[in-house]
Amino acid sequence: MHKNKDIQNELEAISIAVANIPANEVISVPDGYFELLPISVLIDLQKNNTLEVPPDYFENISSLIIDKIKEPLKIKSLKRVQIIIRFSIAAVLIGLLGFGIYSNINQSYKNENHTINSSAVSKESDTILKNNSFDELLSQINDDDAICFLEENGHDINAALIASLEDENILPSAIDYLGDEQKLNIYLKDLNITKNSIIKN
Amino acid sequence: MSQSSEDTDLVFQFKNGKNKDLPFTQIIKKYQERLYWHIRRMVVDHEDSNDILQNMFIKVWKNLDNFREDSQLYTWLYRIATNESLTFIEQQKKRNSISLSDEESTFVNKLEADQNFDANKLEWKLQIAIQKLPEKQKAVFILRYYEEMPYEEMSRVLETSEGALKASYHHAVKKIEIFILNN
Repeated sequence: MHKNKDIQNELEAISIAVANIPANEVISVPDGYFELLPISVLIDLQKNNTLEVPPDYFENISSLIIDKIKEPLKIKSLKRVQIIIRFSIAAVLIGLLGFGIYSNINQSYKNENHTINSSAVSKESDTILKNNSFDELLSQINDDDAICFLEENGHDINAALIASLEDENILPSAIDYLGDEQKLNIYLKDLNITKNSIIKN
Repeated sequence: MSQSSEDTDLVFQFKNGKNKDLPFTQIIKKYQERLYWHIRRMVVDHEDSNDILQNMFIKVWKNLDNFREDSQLYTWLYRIATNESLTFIEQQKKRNSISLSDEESTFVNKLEADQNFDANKLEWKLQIAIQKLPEKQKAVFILRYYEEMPYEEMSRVLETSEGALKASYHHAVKKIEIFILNN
Protein backbone atom coordinates (compact mmCIF):
# COMPACT_ATOMS: atom_id res chain seq x y z
CA MET A 1 0.00 0.00 0.00
CA HIS A 2 1.54 3.28 -1.10
CA LYS A 3 0.67 6.39 0.80
CA ASN A 4 -0.37 9.67 -0.68
CA LYS A 5 2.76 11.83 -0.77
CA ASP A 6 1.26 14.76 1.17
CA ILE A 7 0.00 12.47 3.89
CA GLN A 8 3.33 10.63 4.09
CA ASN A 9 5.21 13.95 4.39
CA GLU A 10 2.85 15.14 7.09
CA LEU A 11 3.36 11.88 8.98
CA GLU A 12 7.15 12.07 8.69
CA ALA A 13 7.01 15.62 10.05
CA ILE A 14 5.20 14.38 13.16
CA SER A 15 6.93 11.04 13.71
CA ILE A 16 9.55 9.22 11.66
CA ALA A 17 8.94 6.04 13.67
CA VAL A 18 5.26 5.90 12.73
CA ALA A 19 5.94 6.96 9.14
CA ASN A 20 8.32 4.01 8.75
CA ILE A 21 5.80 1.37 9.80
CA PRO A 22 5.07 -0.78 6.74
CA ALA A 23 1.56 -0.06 5.54
CA ASN A 24 0.61 -3.72 5.16
CA GLU A 25 -2.84 -4.94 6.10
CA VAL A 26 -2.56 -7.58 8.80
CA ILE A 27 -6.25 -8.01 9.59
CA SER A 28 -8.10 -10.45 7.37
CA VAL A 29 -11.68 -10.76 6.11
CA PRO A 30 -13.49 -14.10 5.58
CA ASP A 31 -13.29 -15.35 1.98
CA GLY A 32 -16.15 -14.27 -0.25
CA TYR A 33 -17.47 -11.77 2.32
CA PHE A 34 -17.72 -8.83 -0.07
CA GLU A 35 -19.35 -10.93 -2.80
CA LEU A 36 -22.19 -11.92 -0.46
CA LEU A 37 -22.66 -8.63 1.40
CA PRO A 38 -24.97 -6.86 -1.13
CA ILE A 39 -27.33 -9.90 -1.20
CA SER A 40 -27.22 -10.14 2.58
CA VAL A 41 -28.15 -6.45 2.94
CA LEU A 42 -31.04 -6.78 0.47
CA ILE A 43 -32.37 -9.84 2.37
CA ASP A 44 -32.16 -7.85 5.61
CA LEU A 45 -34.06 -5.02 3.97
CA GLN A 46 -36.83 -7.38 2.86
CA LYS A 47 -37.13 -8.68 6.43
CA ASN A 48 -37.26 -5.10 7.64
CA ASN A 49 -39.92 -4.16 5.11
CA THR A 50 -42.31 -6.80 6.47
CA LEU A 51 -42.55 -4.68 9.62
CA GLU A 52 -43.36 -1.45 7.82
CA VAL A 53 -46.48 0.44 8.85
CA PRO A 54 -49.24 0.98 6.30
CA PRO A 55 -49.09 4.28 4.39
CA ASP A 56 -50.81 7.21 6.18
CA TYR A 57 -51.02 5.15 9.41
CA PHE A 58 -49.49 7.88 11.55
CA GLU A 59 -51.57 10.57 9.84
CA ASN A 60 -54.81 8.77 10.67
CA ILE A 61 -54.04 7.21 14.04
CA SER A 62 -55.08 10.28 16.09
CA SER A 63 -58.55 10.51 14.47
CA LEU A 64 -59.00 6.74 14.87
CA ILE A 65 -58.27 7.01 18.58
CA ILE A 66 -60.64 9.98 18.99
CA ASP A 67 -63.41 8.05 17.18
CA LYS A 68 -62.88 5.14 19.54
CA ILE A 69 -63.06 7.42 22.56
CA LYS A 70 -66.34 8.96 21.31
CA GLU A 71 -68.00 5.55 20.84
CA PRO A 72 -70.63 4.96 23.57
CA LEU A 73 -69.37 2.71 26.29
CA LYS A 74 -70.78 -0.79 26.26
CA ILE A 75 -71.64 -1.70 29.84
CA LYS A 76 -71.35 -5.39 30.35
CA SER A 77 -73.74 -6.66 32.98
CA LEU A 78 -72.47 -9.23 35.43
CA LYS A 79 -73.29 -12.64 34.11
CA ARG A 80 -76.49 -14.02 35.53
CA VAL A 81 -74.78 -17.29 36.33
CA GLN A 82 -72.26 -15.49 38.49
CA ILE A 83 -75.02 -13.70 40.38
CA ILE A 84 -76.88 -16.97 40.99
CA ILE A 85 -73.69 -18.64 42.19
CA ARG A 86 -72.97 -15.79 44.57
CA PHE A 87 -76.46 -15.83 46.02
CA SER A 88 -76.27 -19.59 46.34
CA ILE A 89 -73.04 -19.24 48.26
CA ALA A 90 -74.63 -16.57 50.40
CA ALA A 91 -77.53 -18.86 51.24
CA VAL A 92 -75.27 -21.77 52.14
CA LEU A 93 -73.12 -19.52 54.29
CA ILE A 94 -76.21 -18.26 56.06
CA GLY A 95 -77.09 -21.84 56.80
CA LEU A 96 -73.64 -22.38 58.25
CA LEU A 97 -73.79 -19.17 60.22
CA GLY A 98 -77.18 -20.12 61.59
CA PHE A 99 -75.80 -23.49 62.49
CA GLY A 100 -72.83 -21.87 64.24
CA ILE A 101 -75.05 -19.55 66.24
CA TYR A 102 -77.40 -22.39 67.06
CA SER A 103 -74.55 -24.63 68.25
CA ASN A 104 -73.21 -21.83 70.40
CA ILE A 105 -76.51 -21.50 72.20
CA ASN A 106 -77.26 -25.17 72.36
CA GLN A 107 -74.55 -26.88 74.41
CA SER A 108 -76.03 -30.31 73.89
CA TYR A 109 -73.48 -31.10 71.20
CA LYS A 110 -71.02 -33.08 73.27
CA ASN A 111 -69.23 -34.84 70.49
CA GLU A 112 -65.61 -33.59 70.52
CA ASN A 113 -65.09 -33.27 66.72
CA HIS A 114 -68.41 -31.59 66.32
CA THR A 115 -67.60 -29.11 69.08
CA ILE A 116 -64.35 -28.12 67.38
CA ASN A 117 -66.08 -27.55 64.06
CA SER A 118 -69.03 -25.65 65.47
CA SER A 119 -66.86 -23.44 67.66
CA ALA A 120 -64.66 -22.55 64.65
CA VAL A 121 -67.74 -21.74 62.58
CA SER A 122 -69.36 -19.70 65.33
CA LYS A 123 -66.14 -17.77 65.89
CA GLU A 124 -65.98 -16.94 62.19
CA SER A 125 -69.65 -16.02 62.13
CA ASP A 126 -69.17 -13.70 65.12
CA THR A 127 -66.35 -11.92 63.29
CA ILE A 128 -68.45 -11.53 60.15
CA LEU A 129 -71.37 -10.18 62.16
CA LYS A 130 -69.21 -7.79 64.14
CA ASN A 131 -67.39 -6.42 61.09
CA ASN A 132 -70.39 -6.60 58.79
CA SER A 133 -67.92 -8.08 56.27
CA PHE A 134 -70.17 -10.61 54.66
CA ASP A 135 -70.27 -8.98 51.22
CA GLU A 136 -66.56 -8.38 51.29
CA LEU A 137 -65.82 -12.02 52.08
CA LEU A 138 -68.31 -13.16 49.50
CA SER A 139 -66.70 -11.08 46.79
CA GLN A 140 -63.33 -12.71 47.55
CA ILE A 141 -64.60 -16.14 46.56
CA ASN A 142 -63.87 -16.93 42.93
CA ASP A 143 -66.29 -18.83 40.72
CA ASP A 144 -64.34 -22.10 40.69
CA ASP A 145 -64.17 -22.21 44.47
CA ALA A 146 -67.83 -21.30 44.65
CA ILE A 147 -68.85 -24.15 42.35
CA CYS A 148 -66.61 -26.54 44.26
CA PHE A 149 -68.12 -25.41 47.55
CA LEU A 150 -71.66 -25.78 46.27
CA GLU A 151 -70.94 -29.25 44.97
CA GLU A 152 -69.88 -30.27 48.46
CA ASN A 153 -72.36 -28.28 50.52
CA GLY A 154 -74.99 -27.09 48.12
CA HIS A 155 -77.88 -29.35 49.22
CA ASP A 156 -79.46 -26.59 51.16
CA ILE A 157 -82.94 -26.12 49.74
CA ASN A 158 -82.85 -22.41 50.52
CA ALA A 159 -79.79 -22.04 48.28
CA ALA A 160 -81.61 -23.80 45.49
CA LEU A 161 -84.62 -21.57 45.96
CA ILE A 162 -82.55 -18.44 45.81
CA ALA A 163 -80.55 -19.69 42.83
CA SER A 164 -83.72 -20.32 40.84
CA LEU A 165 -85.09 -16.80 41.22
CA GLU A 166 -85.84 -15.15 37.91
CA ASP A 167 -85.23 -11.60 39.01
CA GLU A 168 -82.33 -10.88 41.31
CA ASN A 169 -83.63 -7.37 41.97
CA ILE A 170 -86.31 -8.71 44.30
CA LEU A 171 -83.75 -10.43 46.50
CA PRO A 172 -83.31 -9.04 49.99
CA SER A 173 -80.06 -7.34 50.91
CA ALA A 174 -77.52 -9.44 52.77
CA ILE A 175 -77.68 -7.16 55.81
CA ASP A 176 -81.40 -7.83 56.21
CA TYR A 177 -81.28 -11.58 56.33
CA LEU A 178 -77.83 -12.02 57.84
CA GLY A 179 -78.89 -11.25 61.40
CA ASP A 180 -82.10 -13.19 61.37
CA GLU A 181 -82.66 -16.41 59.49
CA GLN A 182 -86.36 -16.04 60.06
CA LYS A 183 -86.34 -12.98 57.85
CA LEU A 184 -85.04 -15.08 54.97
CA ASN A 185 -87.87 -17.55 55.47
CA ILE A 186 -90.34 -14.66 55.41
CA TYR A 187 -88.83 -13.40 52.19
CA LEU A 188 -89.09 -16.84 50.67
CA LYS A 189 -92.70 -17.11 51.72
CA ASP A 190 -93.44 -13.67 50.28
CA LEU A 191 -91.91 -14.74 47.02
CA ASN A 192 -94.20 -17.77 47.08
CA ILE A 193 -91.45 -20.17 46.13
CA THR A 194 -91.95 -23.71 47.25
CA LYS A 195 -89.95 -26.88 46.99
CA ASN A 196 -92.50 -28.21 44.53
CA SER A 197 -92.25 -25.22 42.24
CA ILE A 198 -88.48 -25.63 42.15
CA ILE A 199 -88.73 -29.28 41.28
CA LYS A 200 -91.22 -28.49 38.53
CA ASN A 201 -88.86 -25.90 37.06
CA MET B 1 -17.63 9.80 -15.36
CA SER B 2 -16.18 11.23 -12.13
CA GLN B 3 -16.87 9.58 -8.80
CA SER B 4 -19.11 12.43 -7.76
CA SER B 5 -21.26 12.48 -10.92
CA GLU B 6 -21.47 8.68 -10.88
CA ASP B 7 -22.81 8.87 -7.31
CA THR B 8 -25.26 11.59 -8.26
CA ASP B 9 -26.52 9.37 -11.06
CA LEU B 10 -26.93 6.38 -8.70
CA VAL B 11 -28.81 8.51 -6.18
CA PHE B 12 -31.05 9.84 -8.97
CA GLN B 13 -31.82 6.29 -10.16
CA PHE B 14 -32.61 5.24 -6.59
CA LYS B 15 -34.93 8.18 -6.00
CA ASN B 16 -36.72 8.11 -9.35
CA GLY B 17 -36.34 4.65 -10.82
CA LYS B 18 -38.88 1.86 -10.48
CA ASN B 19 -36.32 -0.66 -9.28
CA LYS B 20 -34.37 0.67 -6.30
CA ASP B 21 -32.47 -2.59 -5.77
CA LEU B 22 -30.23 -2.10 -8.78
CA PRO B 23 -28.72 1.33 -8.01
CA PHE B 24 -28.59 0.43 -4.33
CA THR B 25 -26.62 -2.76 -5.02
CA GLN B 26 -24.20 -0.67 -7.08
CA ILE B 27 -23.75 1.75 -4.19
CA ILE B 28 -23.05 -1.13 -1.81
CA LYS B 29 -20.56 -2.74 -4.20
CA LYS B 30 -18.80 0.56 -4.73
CA TYR B 31 -18.34 1.48 -1.08
CA GLN B 32 -18.59 -1.74 0.92
CA GLU B 33 -14.85 -2.47 1.18
CA ARG B 34 -13.80 1.02 2.18
CA LEU B 35 -16.59 1.36 4.69
CA TYR B 36 -15.99 -2.15 6.04
CA TRP B 37 -12.32 -1.41 6.70
CA HIS B 38 -13.13 1.91 8.30
CA ILE B 39 -15.60 0.21 10.67
CA ARG B 40 -13.37 -2.82 11.24
CA ARG B 41 -10.44 -0.63 12.32
CA MET B 42 -12.75 1.13 14.74
CA VAL B 43 -14.35 -1.93 16.36
CA VAL B 44 -11.78 -4.67 15.50
CA ASP B 45 -14.14 -7.68 15.47
CA HIS B 46 -15.37 -8.92 12.07
CA GLU B 47 -18.86 -9.92 13.28
CA ASP B 48 -19.40 -6.55 14.95
CA SER B 49 -18.16 -4.79 11.81
CA ASN B 50 -20.51 -6.85 9.65
CA ASP B 51 -23.49 -5.98 11.88
CA ILE B 52 -22.64 -2.29 11.86
CA LEU B 53 -22.07 -2.24 8.11
CA GLN B 54 -25.36 -4.01 7.34
CA ASN B 55 -27.34 -1.78 9.72
CA MET B 56 -25.64 1.18 8.18
CA PHE B 57 -26.72 0.20 4.67
CA ILE B 58 -30.28 -0.39 5.90
CA LYS B 59 -30.27 3.16 7.27
CA VAL B 60 -28.90 4.40 3.96
CA TRP B 61 -31.78 2.67 2.11
CA LYS B 62 -34.35 4.22 4.44
CA ASN B 63 -32.91 7.72 4.19
CA LEU B 64 -31.53 7.95 0.68
CA ASP B 65 -34.83 9.30 -0.66
CA ASN B 66 -34.43 12.25 1.70
CA PHE B 67 -30.69 12.73 1.01
CA ARG B 68 -30.48 16.39 -0.02
CA GLU B 69 -27.08 16.05 -1.72
CA ASP B 70 -25.69 19.06 0.13
CA SER B 71 -22.66 16.83 0.64
CA GLN B 72 -21.32 14.05 -1.53
CA LEU B 73 -22.71 10.55 -1.13
CA TYR B 74 -19.23 9.38 -0.15
CA THR B 75 -19.03 11.91 2.73
CA TRP B 76 -22.54 11.04 3.89
CA LEU B 77 -21.73 7.31 3.93
CA TYR B 78 -18.56 7.85 5.94
CA ARG B 79 -20.44 10.03 8.39
CA ILE B 80 -23.02 7.30 8.97
CA ALA B 81 -20.32 4.60 9.26
CA THR B 82 -18.32 6.67 11.76
CA ASN B 83 -21.36 7.55 13.86
CA GLU B 84 -22.57 3.95 13.87
CA SER B 85 -19.12 2.73 14.97
CA LEU B 86 -18.87 5.34 17.73
CA THR B 87 -22.41 4.50 18.88
CA PHE B 88 -21.50 0.81 18.96
CA ILE B 89 -18.40 1.51 21.09
CA GLU B 90 -20.49 3.68 23.40
CA GLN B 91 -23.19 1.01 23.74
CA GLN B 92 -20.62 -1.66 24.50
CA LYS B 93 -19.12 0.55 27.16
CA LYS B 94 -22.52 1.10 28.77
CA ARG B 95 -23.59 -2.54 28.47
CA ASN B 96 -20.46 -3.81 30.13
CA SER B 97 -20.10 -0.68 32.31
CA ILE B 98 -16.43 -0.65 31.50
CA SER B 99 -13.97 2.15 31.96
CA LEU B 100 -11.90 3.65 29.18
CA SER B 101 -8.86 1.50 29.98
CA ASP B 102 -11.01 -1.67 30.04
CA GLU B 103 -12.50 -0.69 26.71
CA GLU B 104 -9.00 -0.36 25.21
CA SER B 105 -8.01 -3.76 26.56
CA THR B 106 -11.22 -5.31 25.16
CA PHE B 107 -10.23 -4.22 21.66
CA VAL B 108 -6.60 -5.17 22.25
CA ASN B 109 -7.72 -8.62 23.43
CA LYS B 110 -9.73 -9.01 20.26
CA LEU B 111 -6.66 -8.15 18.19
CA GLU B 112 -4.48 -10.57 20.14
CA ALA B 113 -7.06 -13.30 19.61
CA ASP B 114 -6.57 -13.05 15.85
CA GLN B 115 -5.02 -16.24 14.48
CA ASN B 116 -2.40 -14.22 12.56
CA PHE B 117 -1.45 -12.02 15.51
CA ASP B 118 2.30 -11.53 15.87
CA ALA B 119 3.32 -9.33 18.80
CA ASN B 120 6.74 -8.69 17.24
CA LYS B 121 5.43 -7.26 14.01
CA LEU B 122 5.29 -3.46 13.79
CA GLU B 123 2.01 -3.60 11.87
CA TRP B 124 0.32 -5.40 14.81
CA LYS B 125 1.90 -2.99 17.29
CA LEU B 126 0.39 -0.17 15.28
CA GLN B 127 -3.03 -1.85 15.48
CA ILE B 128 -2.75 -2.14 19.25
CA ALA B 129 -1.59 1.47 19.56
CA ILE B 130 -4.61 2.61 17.53
CA GLN B 131 -6.97 0.77 19.88
CA LYS B 132 -5.45 2.59 22.82
CA LEU B 133 -6.45 5.97 21.39
CA PRO B 134 -9.59 7.80 22.59
CA GLU B 135 -12.43 6.87 20.24
CA LYS B 136 -12.71 10.18 18.33
CA GLN B 137 -8.94 10.47 17.96
CA LYS B 138 -9.01 6.91 16.69
CA ALA B 139 -11.56 7.89 14.03
CA VAL B 140 -9.41 10.85 12.93
CA PHE B 141 -6.25 8.73 12.71
CA ILE B 142 -7.99 5.96 10.74
CA LEU B 143 -9.59 8.37 8.28
CA ARG B 144 -6.30 10.18 7.67
CA TYR B 145 -3.77 7.33 7.83
CA TYR B 146 -5.75 4.57 6.11
CA GLU B 147 -8.45 6.36 4.12
CA GLU B 148 -6.12 9.26 3.24
CA MET B 149 -9.04 11.59 3.60
CA PRO B 150 -8.37 15.34 3.11
CA TYR B 151 -9.04 17.39 6.25
CA GLU B 152 -11.69 19.37 4.40
CA GLU B 153 -13.64 16.16 3.69
CA MET B 154 -12.99 14.81 7.18
CA SER B 155 -14.34 18.04 8.61
CA ARG B 156 -17.69 17.32 6.93
CA VAL B 157 -17.69 13.69 8.07
CA LEU B 158 -16.89 14.40 11.70
CA GLU B 159 -18.44 17.86 11.80
CA THR B 160 -15.29 19.26 13.39
CA SER B 161 -13.07 22.14 12.25
CA GLU B 162 -10.03 21.36 10.13
CA GLY B 163 -7.73 22.91 12.74
CA ALA B 164 -9.11 20.68 15.48
CA LEU B 165 -8.73 17.64 13.23
CA LYS B 166 -5.09 18.46 12.45
CA ALA B 167 -4.36 18.84 16.15
CA SER B 168 -6.17 15.62 16.91
CA TYR B 169 -4.22 13.72 14.25
CA HIS B 170 -0.94 15.15 15.57
CA HIS B 171 -1.75 13.97 19.11
CA ALA B 172 -2.77 10.56 17.84
CA VAL B 173 0.47 10.05 15.91
CA LYS B 174 2.53 11.14 18.92
CA LYS B 175 0.71 8.68 21.21
CA ILE B 176 1.26 5.88 18.70
CA GLU B 177 4.94 6.79 18.45
CA ILE B 178 5.36 6.58 22.23
CA PHE B 179 3.63 3.18 22.30
CA ILE B 180 5.78 1.82 19.43
CA LEU B 181 9.02 3.05 20.98
CA ASN B 182 8.14 1.67 24.42
CA ASN B 183 7.00 -1.74 23.20
